Amino acid sequence: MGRREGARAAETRTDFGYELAQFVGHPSSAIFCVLHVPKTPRGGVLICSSILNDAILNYRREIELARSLAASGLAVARFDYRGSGHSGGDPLRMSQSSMREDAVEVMSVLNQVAGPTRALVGSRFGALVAAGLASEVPDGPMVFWEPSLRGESFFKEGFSASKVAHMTAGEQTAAPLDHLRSVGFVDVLGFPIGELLYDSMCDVELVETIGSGDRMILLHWSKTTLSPAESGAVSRLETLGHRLTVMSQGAPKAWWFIENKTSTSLEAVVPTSEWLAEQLKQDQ
Amino acid sequence: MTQYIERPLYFDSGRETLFGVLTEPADQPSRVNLLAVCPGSWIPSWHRGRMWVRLAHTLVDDGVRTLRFDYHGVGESTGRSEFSLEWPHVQDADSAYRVLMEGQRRHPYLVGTCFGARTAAAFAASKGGTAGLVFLALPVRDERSNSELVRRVSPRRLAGKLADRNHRRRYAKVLRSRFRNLGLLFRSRVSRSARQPHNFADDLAGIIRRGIPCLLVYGTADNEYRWFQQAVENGKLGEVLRSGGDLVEVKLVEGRFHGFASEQSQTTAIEIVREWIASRDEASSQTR
Repeated sequence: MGRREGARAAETRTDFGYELAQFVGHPSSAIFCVLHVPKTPRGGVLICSSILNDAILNYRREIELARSLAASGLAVARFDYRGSGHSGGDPLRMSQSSMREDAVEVMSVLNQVAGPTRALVGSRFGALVAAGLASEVPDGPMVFWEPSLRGESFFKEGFSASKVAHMTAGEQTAAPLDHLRSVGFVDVLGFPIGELLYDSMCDVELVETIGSGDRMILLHWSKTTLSPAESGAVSRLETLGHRLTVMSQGAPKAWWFIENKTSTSLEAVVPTSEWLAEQLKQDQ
Repeated sequence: MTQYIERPLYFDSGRETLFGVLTEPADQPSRVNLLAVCPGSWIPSWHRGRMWVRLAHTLVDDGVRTLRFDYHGVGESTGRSEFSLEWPHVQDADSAYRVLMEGQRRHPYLVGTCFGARTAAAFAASKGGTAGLVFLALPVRDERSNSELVRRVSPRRLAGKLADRNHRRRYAKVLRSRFRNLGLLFRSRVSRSARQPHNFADDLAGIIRRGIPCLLVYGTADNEYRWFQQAVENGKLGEVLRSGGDLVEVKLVEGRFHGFASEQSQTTAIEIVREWIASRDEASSQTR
């Protein structure tokens, strides 16, 4: 397969077109992003990933989604927020505004190859970031995979998971929030959460951030029964005027624990790809 | 802190395309090469807590050039993957090694954790060309060792053990692994004679024969350390270790180390790798 390399970018040919991995921005705090570009793109999709262990567990299925969308003619951009993944930067400087800046910068890179971004995808914590970009993609469809409905609930999950891990290992630790306030960060299963990130995202709420409108929204959960909070979010989004598709299928996942020999389930990929391709075909 | 350049790369491994990131010092020539070999479990090559990224960024201060890469089926690479300690991804490591060594003369160090450590061991044993190896929380107990333990148990004792949930889980794991290994062999397009399962004792013997220095690091609370101790006391590994003399060093870290599920364990790992490579590098420059 054909390949090209530059100082900070590398491209590989694929069946659908090409993939371009690159570092964008200042070298010491570069954003790592990957574009999946079909031969004739008919618009772009931005995927906003989750963070911490979540990012590991969702990584492959986001890539499979990107490749599936590219095969249907949509260019896709995926990226690691500064301070996470392959990107440069300091994880303790991550915040709502830094994550938004990163997403907007990657969107501008995507726009150069695919024209205007037409849809947003957010998985787990990334749903809150994607929701915050709604104004950048007016009326565009949005996809949320197992969305965190509120920043605080995501952090609480992480703190609980961390506590379980410590208890299982017979270790004593300070209460996570106490540690966060006294030291400026808390270690959640090997990932640091800084005060900036916690304080800026704690009160961010998915439904409130999306606001009212007339969007097509797909919500996908890997389980068959929604919690009251999730059902409530669905109702509120409908009340706000959005047209929803809700998929809840498969077995629940333990998003915080990386078990040996656990591959990421890809069951959400095909229905999501088909749904998005259909929405964007209708928008043309 | 030394400035660095990071360059994404795509390269072939068999029929798949692998992805990697090469980190180099920006304002000084690199002196040492390092290949970071990931664990299994579909973890992308930045690793938990961005450990491989932090390692690469730290080591540029010492003039080290680092390549981290995704196995086939993982991260940005193509393909589908299975993970079994007896079948480490030697071909992927070999492909990454070749990319790292393009235009280079000095043999690289390999640093691997868990499945990655087994991969690094299998690679070095069969290919050599390595300045040194650091094995972080290397699991010596592969499914063959588990099976051996199962076979040694009498039926009465077995019944007693099966009353214990942990033992039931272990035996179930052995059985699942047996079926999975059979499946892997069946699906593999390489003939069985050309593809033998690996065990660490044999790989370590091969590494020692090649004169490659290595460091094994364990946490005192890790299961992997308990298995290591048992293998040294009860099996071939003890003999192999003794035959290695000063070539093989074992270092213990207090508490949990495997999986790097804490920022502290990651920082400790980075410091250990940095110090060991610096000491090996100094030792080898004195003998030149």
